[in-house]
Amino acid sequence: MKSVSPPSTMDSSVLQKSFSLGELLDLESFREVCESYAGLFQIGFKIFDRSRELLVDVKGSGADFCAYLFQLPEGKVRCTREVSIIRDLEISGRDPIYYDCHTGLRYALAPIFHEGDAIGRLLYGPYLPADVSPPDLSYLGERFNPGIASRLLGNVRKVRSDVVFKVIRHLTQTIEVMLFIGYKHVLISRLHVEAVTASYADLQVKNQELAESFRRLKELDRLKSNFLATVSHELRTPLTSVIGYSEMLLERLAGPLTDEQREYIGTIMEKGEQLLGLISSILDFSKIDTGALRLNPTPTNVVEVTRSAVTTVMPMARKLGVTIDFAAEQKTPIIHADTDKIRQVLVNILGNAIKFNRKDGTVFVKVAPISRPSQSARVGEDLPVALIPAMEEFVSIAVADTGVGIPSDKLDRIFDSFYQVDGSSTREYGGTGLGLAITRNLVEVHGGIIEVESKPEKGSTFTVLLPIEPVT
Amino acid sequence: MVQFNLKQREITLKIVYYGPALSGKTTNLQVIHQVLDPDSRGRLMVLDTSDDRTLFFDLMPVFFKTQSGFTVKVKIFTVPGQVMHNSTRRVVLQGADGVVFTADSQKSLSKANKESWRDMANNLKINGLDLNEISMVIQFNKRDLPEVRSDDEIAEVARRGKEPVYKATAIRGKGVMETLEGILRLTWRSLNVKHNLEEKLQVTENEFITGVLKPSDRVGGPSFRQEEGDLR
Repeated sequence: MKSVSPPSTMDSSVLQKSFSLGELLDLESFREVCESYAGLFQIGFKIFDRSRELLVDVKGSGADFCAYLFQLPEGKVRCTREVSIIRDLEISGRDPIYYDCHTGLRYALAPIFHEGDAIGRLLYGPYLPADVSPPDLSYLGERFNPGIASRLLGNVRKVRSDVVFKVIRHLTQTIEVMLFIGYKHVLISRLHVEAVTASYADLQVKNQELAESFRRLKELDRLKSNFLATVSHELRTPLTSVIGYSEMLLERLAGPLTDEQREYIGTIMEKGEQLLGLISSILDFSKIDTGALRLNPTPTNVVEVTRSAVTTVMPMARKLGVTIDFAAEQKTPIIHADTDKIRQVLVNILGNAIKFNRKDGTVFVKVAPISRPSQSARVGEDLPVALIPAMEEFVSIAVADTGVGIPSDKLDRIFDSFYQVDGSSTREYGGTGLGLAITRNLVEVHGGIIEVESKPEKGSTFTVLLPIEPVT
Repeated sequence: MVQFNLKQREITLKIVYYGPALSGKTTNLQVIHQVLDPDSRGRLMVLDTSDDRTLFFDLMPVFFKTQSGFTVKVKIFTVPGQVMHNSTRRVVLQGADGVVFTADSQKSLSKANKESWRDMANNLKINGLDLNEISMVIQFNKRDLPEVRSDDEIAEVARRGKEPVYKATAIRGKGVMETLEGILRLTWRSLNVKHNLEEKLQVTENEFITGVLKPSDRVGGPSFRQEEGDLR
């Protein structure tokens, strides 16, 4: 068999990828946290990712003052220039750097780290440093109103440098923990997908191998069945001659026989017929196995067929001291079935019931019509439940013996081909192990069911259920 | 596979701790996390289940800046040891530059060690990595337990095999940093031969080792001694 290797996982895994700040955070929730933070200290801030894209912008107490200056032409020019300068300032190390703008307000800029990388920056402010006096802003032109500016400046949070340092450290640490949690979740979810994908690929390879192995086994099985059919046929031809010539000898067509000769030839004929029976079983089985079996359905009186099968096995029962108790309900309907095949089924089950019975035991045979709830899982049925009748009508033929019974762990396997409950070379009962396999197949091709119940040392009951509605 | 980012002047190496279930891979990483300087390592990401068995992997990055201005990162992973997590192990092993095989010293677990080794060899192969070429050290962990393979036996194994062998009691911190230094040196040398790292990055092996293994200066931290009779 050609072996197939699982696919390589050389394509880059999530473990090899680096993520941007925006990819690791749930930005909506993150903004809420930032707003809460800004509200707590009344100082606004902005967060940029590595490529300087603005992710979060929350306003603080300096917003109104800045907005007032921004609507003045000179203020707008200066503010715009300074914001872009501050945003792009170089930071080395972990500590924040500070920048005082033309208004006297201060900004702090701090890196945000993830796995040793500065993957973003926090622009904190503006705030009013406690140790700085606001400069003269009259250069902003005639429209500048010192009164308004002074009033708005009074609203800006005044704060000491050491407090700002602590707040920034706390804020960046909080963000870094959020990034770590985000990263952990990204890794878990994506790695889970990668692992499942890899397992799926492994399973696909295994399935392919199993499918190939199954195909080969099916082919071998077909060859085996063909072989059985050919060999059985070739064995039957000379055996028919052996039996035929023995019969002719017994009928004295070749002259008179002594008692001893008659006895010997009788044995040859009897054993020859036994052998022919076995070979026929094998041939039947191989026909069923290869799908070559054809049914010839005709109106069949199951009571009569059963009675006839009982008659067939009666000599065997007498020989082994087994009594057959036959009962049939007269209302049993005529069904559409292959009469010969049904007789073959019954002869086989009755034969087993006698063979595996105790000496002076009894075989109870009962034929009756029954109805029972439908089993939608029946072989070959894929109809929706609504289309299956609630009750199904059958003719039931139950054959119960009073023999050794079948151990419960072997009940499932007794219909398997070539299976023997006692498979040892010293077993008590003979046979090919094909009888029940053939029987089940013959019942199932009629749309019927065969069931077995057994209690060790009490006996077994085989029930054949043949549908009253003809199989289409 | 070592990742170069010349634009950002950055290099990333990957070390993977492999080994049978419950052999102490996560414990190794926990000790490393405790010993190294918090400023030069990231948080320890442990992805375990409620019963303390690793579900996906553990991860801890270590990083430092070289005198020449390069950022060197070492990402240390552990794989989940339980047999059923094979596909996760394969994904985690992907692109490894060095592997620490953490074996259990207990005699009764020799079979588990062998099975895990075969599993690793197979996963390396599927990932396009060559068992004979990848940097690899073997750590015999849990030296403190009874019924372990004897020192003589391990010395004999070390003498016969090509992989450097370390003895450890990770739960007490013994032999953990020595094992890590061993795999880092081996990996660096191998990558240096392939990629001429010392010249490209202007970093020596010693600067690399000192940078990655910079210890925490926290007072009163645990002392981590080398397991007696180390086999290097």
